[in-house]
Amino acid sequence: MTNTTDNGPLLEVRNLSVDFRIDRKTILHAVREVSFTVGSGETLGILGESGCGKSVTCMSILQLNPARTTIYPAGEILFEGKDLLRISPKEMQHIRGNRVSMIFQEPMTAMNPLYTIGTQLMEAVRLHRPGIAKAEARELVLEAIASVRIPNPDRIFDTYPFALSGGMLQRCMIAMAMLARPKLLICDEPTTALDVTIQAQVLELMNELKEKEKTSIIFVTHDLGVINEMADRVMVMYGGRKCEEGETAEVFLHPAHPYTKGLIASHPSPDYTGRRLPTIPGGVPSLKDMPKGCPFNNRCSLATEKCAGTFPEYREISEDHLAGCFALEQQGENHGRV
Amino acid sequence: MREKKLKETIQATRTRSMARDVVKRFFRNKAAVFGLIVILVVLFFIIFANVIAPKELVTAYDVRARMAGPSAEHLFGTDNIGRDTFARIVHGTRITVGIGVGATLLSLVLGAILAAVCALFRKADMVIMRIVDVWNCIPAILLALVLLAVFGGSVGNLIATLAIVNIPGFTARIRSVLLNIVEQDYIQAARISGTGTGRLVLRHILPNAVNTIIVDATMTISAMMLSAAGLSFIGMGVSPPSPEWGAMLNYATEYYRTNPMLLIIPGAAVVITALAINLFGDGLRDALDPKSLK
Amino acid sequence: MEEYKYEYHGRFFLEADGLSMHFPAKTDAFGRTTSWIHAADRVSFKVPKGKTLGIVGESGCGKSTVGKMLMNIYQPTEGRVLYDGVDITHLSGKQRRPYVKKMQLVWQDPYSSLDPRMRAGAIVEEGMRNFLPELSEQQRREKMLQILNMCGLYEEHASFYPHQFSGGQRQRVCIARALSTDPELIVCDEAVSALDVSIQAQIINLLMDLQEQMQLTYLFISHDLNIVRFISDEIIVMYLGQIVERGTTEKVYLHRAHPYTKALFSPTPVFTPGKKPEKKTLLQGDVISPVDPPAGCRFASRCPYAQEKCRKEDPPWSNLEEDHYVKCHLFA
Repeated sequence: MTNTTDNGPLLEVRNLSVDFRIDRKTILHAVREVSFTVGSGETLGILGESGCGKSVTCMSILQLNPARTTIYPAGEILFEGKDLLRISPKEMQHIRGNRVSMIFQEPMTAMNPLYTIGTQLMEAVRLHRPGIAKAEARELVLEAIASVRIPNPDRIFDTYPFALSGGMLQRCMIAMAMLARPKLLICDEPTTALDVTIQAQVLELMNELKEKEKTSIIFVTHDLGVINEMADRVMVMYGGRKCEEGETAEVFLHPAHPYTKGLIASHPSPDYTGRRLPTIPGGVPSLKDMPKGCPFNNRCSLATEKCAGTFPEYREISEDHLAGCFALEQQGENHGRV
Repeated sequence: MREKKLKETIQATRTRSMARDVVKRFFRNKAAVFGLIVILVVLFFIIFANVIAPKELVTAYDVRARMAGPSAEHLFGTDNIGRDTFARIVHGTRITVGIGVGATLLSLVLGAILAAVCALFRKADMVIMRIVDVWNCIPAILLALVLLAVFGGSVGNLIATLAIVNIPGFTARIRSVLLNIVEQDYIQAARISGTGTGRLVLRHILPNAVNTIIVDATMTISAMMLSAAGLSFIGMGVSPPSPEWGAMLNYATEYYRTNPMLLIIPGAAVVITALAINLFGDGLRDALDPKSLK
Repeated sequence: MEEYKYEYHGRFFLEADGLSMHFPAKTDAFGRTTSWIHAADRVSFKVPKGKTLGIVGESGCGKSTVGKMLMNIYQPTEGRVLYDGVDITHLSGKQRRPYVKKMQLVWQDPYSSLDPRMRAGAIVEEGMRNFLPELSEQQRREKMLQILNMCGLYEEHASFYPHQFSGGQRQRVCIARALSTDPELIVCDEAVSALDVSIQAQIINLLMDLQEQMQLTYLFISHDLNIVRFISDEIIVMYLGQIVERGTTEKVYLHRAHPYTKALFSPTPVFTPGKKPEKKTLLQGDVISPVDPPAGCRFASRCPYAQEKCRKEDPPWSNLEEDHYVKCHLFA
């Protein structure tokens, strides 16, 4: 079902649910029964609009959701065979930044404004290789800065974050994330805050690093174009559920779930000449008002009574292409491939 | 089906009148309700002081009943010359709370006007802020002492003095809040919709600043009550026979070993009133914020 | 300065004539400004009634500054704004009022552009209260509800506070507010950038519907080429305060000429389902500082085709084809 290597997938998330406890009475379901795998060297794109649970899913892998309010009612997150939901905080600390790194959307706030870029990168090195000589650490950091194609690493080393542009800072973040040579890199909308020409540079750089280091990547974004360019496989999420999953080209060419179809249609391709942009009616409901059953049922043109009851089983549309929608059942096995 | 569902959600979230929302949200906050109750009691004392305890009792002394403990006749006992503590506390409410509230309101209004001028007009801002800077450089206590020494220590002068000392602080704090709001897009949007400066301040800027101002003001009220007490202690505030809580407190320090009640009662009065005002202010701030509507 | 010749086949409506905006960057000990931020330099364009002009560029290219100069939020350092032939750049508050009524703005961030303490109805009614005093309270309310309806909101929404709306609905309220004074021109400053993709399409469709119904003129400022191309009749591409390419949407989009336009168009991960995008022009480096920009072409530091000449001489405007102009030495 997945691109497994000899030793099985690097990361396997099984049936993950995440709840947030707001007050004594209210529990919000942020993520519901999501399963996916990431093979080594593979890039998985998680695609969805705001509030679909894509960021929460990623934060769960590193246990970065606010501890006081987050509940994991079910599921397993198996990373190299270990269930990350059940290991000690100390073990987690070791995995974070060492085996798994993360890059955030806002490079401006992800760096501490009080320390130079060099100091912060050095700290990252020493955290994961305690006892390393200062000179050696510095060497490693300069190498890392150079590897993200920043000219004059020496100068950048002694620069404070405020003096750098968003694109430069995001490169530094990537350098920092790659310092420990992680097996898995989680990128949460890493290029959304950047200008288009800078975004292109950063994406190119990430693709290059991936080739070189054979790192697995989870790439979270709302931008179909970025997914198309970066991801081998894609998982589409809506309302905390996985709606569709499969190889990127396959999913984008033959979308099966009505939400995926709508999302692709509302992204005008260069040769679209219609008078109006196709849209999905309505808006994404807040977690509090998320409909029961299939979360998309109140915006879906194919919705029936059944959809408001339970979430459908996932059906295999073709090899390595899953979708969860009742409409697929009624219309027979091969409907996804019109 | 979808239409119906939409209508239902709209019904459910349909909002009531603004005032009712505020009241409802306020009463959900228990601490704020406690504050309100205490404030009502204090107000009751202020309005009906003469009914609760005849005014003569404040100064009438009864040497035979010196340092008496609480009894039916003297609810909080008596002091070293036999004055009824309860009557003094009740009548002292007017003075202490009056000074605190009066000085705060006066300085708040003047400070807010200066701050609004600063936030809206850049040239005036330069001038006013330099004056405020100089003003802030004069130690507050010295300024207060000088003013009281020149004009005498009456309740009115005490209010005026404390207000003058407080204005620069209010101006600077409110100005920074207003500057923040003035930069928001919705202020520009209101301008583009043709809203004049007066309406802009009243409808858009002040309602959004009110949060911070309320908390600031309530904290200042309690601080003012304590300052008034301090000034009375060094003989620059209200003169001894008047039952100002701070003056009573200072007076009682001499006797705290023999009669701790003398110290505890006015102390508790100050603390409870100040706390109640703060809790009430917090509750009011939350209630006025439409985002806390659930 | 006559920088280009540009023929329109219609009535001019809004005209920007050599607009420049320079902000002081540094002052010496005597308060004299020693260096300037060139936010916009000699920007000129004309928009006919009922059409949409798209302004495209990266952050810091001056596109928002241009919008703010038109709305008189900034007083231009140089140049004029003509509204239906009338110079409105230096009008006093009272003289300006009839024009303020006709020009409205929709902001990027639907969160900070609505007063959190006012209900949607009151927000929409505010402009009417100021500019349409002849309306009675009843008429105002009716008009407000009608506008909300046009913007795809229900009557019930009039009593909602901004935080009770989703992002897309908030932007609808912003558009409703802009429509309340019966404007002729609306400046949309990144009006859909903060919204989800499926919501962006809804808002764009709404804007286009409203344009058809009310003969509105739009100035659509955005960094997103796919959207600008969809809504605009003409496009201006800006880089570091200057216009570098201009023309009708089709021509700029299909025959993009300036190296910057090419780079700007290609890196947007253009979406063709199932197809890996082709190799694209990658620009090196970042946008240079707008403080005292160098002589010559401002794009020279990032341009893959830059020559000696580009660093010294300001490139002239060249006419490539009908209604398509570019400011680049390559075409001179």
